[in-house]
Amino acid sequence: MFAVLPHIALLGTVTIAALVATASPAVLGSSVLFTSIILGSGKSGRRVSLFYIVYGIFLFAFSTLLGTGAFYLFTALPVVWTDYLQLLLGLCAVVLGLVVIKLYFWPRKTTSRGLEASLSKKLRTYAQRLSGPLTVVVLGLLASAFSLLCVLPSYLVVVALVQTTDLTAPFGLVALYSVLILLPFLTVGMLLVGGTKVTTIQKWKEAHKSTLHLFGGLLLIALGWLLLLTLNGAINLG
Amino acid sequence: MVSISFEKYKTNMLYIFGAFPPVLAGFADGDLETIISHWSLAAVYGGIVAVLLLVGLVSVGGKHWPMLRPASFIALAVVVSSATLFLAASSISLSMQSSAGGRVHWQAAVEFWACGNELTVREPHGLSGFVGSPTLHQADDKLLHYDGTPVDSAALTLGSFVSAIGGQLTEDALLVPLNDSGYFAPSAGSQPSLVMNNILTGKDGKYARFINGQTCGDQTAEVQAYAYTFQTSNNTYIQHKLADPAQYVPSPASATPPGDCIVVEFGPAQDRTDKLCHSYGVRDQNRCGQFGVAADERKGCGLKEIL
Repeated sequence: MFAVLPHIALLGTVTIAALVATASPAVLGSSVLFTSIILGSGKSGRRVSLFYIVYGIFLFAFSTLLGTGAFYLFTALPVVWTDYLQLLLGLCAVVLGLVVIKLYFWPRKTTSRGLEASLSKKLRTYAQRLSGPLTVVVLGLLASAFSLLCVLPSYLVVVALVQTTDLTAPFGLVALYSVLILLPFLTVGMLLVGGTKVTTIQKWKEAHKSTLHLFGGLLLIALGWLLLLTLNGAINLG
Repeated sequence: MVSISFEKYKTNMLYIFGAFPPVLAGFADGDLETIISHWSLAAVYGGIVAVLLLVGLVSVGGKHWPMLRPASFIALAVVVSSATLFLAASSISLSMQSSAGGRVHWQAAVEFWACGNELTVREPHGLSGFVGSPTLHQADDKLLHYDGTPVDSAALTLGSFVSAIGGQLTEDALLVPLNDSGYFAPSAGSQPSLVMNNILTGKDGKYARFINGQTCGDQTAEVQAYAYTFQTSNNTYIQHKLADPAQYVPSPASATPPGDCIVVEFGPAQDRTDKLCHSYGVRDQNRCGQFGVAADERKGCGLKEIL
């Protein structure tokens, strides 16, 4: 019982954090962008599969390595340093959460289409220069790096939360997070492969962008507060 | 060039954050960690309600009154920042006053015995997975867990731990919360009939109560406690009887051993106990067999008790 129950709250936190953090307009936009580039190159079937395999493997590997490394760094540092580092992380998460949530309260007048179009053009040009599987591998690598960058703040807070518990090996939770952050990107990709139009997904994303920002911002604030509450002993996740 | 020594910096910070706990202490009772815990949760609950109200307000009226959006965001930013600053300041305050310099996870093995019967302490219910406070608790593992920033040693005593899990330990009485069934752990020579009259029902469930002067069979018994403390240098441990069990502060350690093994026992007065915690027993070179370690696995039984 001890091995399971105390960590249910932590398990819930990791699951919600991964799904909300990765369901961001940026990650969904990048999924549309990368998949449409691959589909646009004509030879769809195997290339799309390869792209998603490469994306999945890279993202899982990067994320797991980063999470495990951060966990052991927090553990190896003197307790005073770890406390202050985690405090700083909590504060940064809240500040970043406010910045993100501002986009819900105070939406930007412009859409991100212009930026996406510019990025798309550059990536397409780059993709044309390369040929064969190498293109797909490079695009998969870029997509996974971008996805990880988008979830990095919430991920580091989650790792810090895991480190505050009595878990000595974080691999299970870090691996769970790494698998969950694949899902939104893959879902969008599968929809596109299944025949859904790029414009349909882009319209949906633009229509729900402010809501996604709201949830993303609330998540960061909640994670920051959770970490700060853990640090001052008000709560214990296990 | 401006230079400032760390000590001077720390003194200044203590001056700033040192004023923080007394201000809080004026509003609530309890040790510093408890006070901070209560106020932190109150700040966060208040923050959550305010954030939800502001988001709801903007969702409903944001389209009709455009100025509502920026105004609500500013209000939300103020609420969130205030709660966050409170949480951060309380953490810094605790860390600066802590002897350990920050958050620690310490544990000690604790067993409760009465008239030769090992009592099974009430198991955790619900999702928290532990009995007690977030800082001081046990988690169905016969371990005293301290997860927090130690400031006041009074909050770390054996008495505080027993109180946190819903019991009581004084010089002449012991109260241990139990499950609704299965009051005793299986052990050789146990005689549950000797203590069945001590098991009572309270508003939170079953508990066992022992008072000095009551008997175990025909012998007068009393509440006693013993601590086994570990010597890392030579892999040995020593037992000593505690003069004031409730005030005993276990050794700071993140595992047991080297964390203490504490045996709280109601029985005839004696200077030593023959009871030993499982985590010590399975490593003891003379007793690991009694604790179920197979003959071919006794290489790890390297601990020795100094008598």
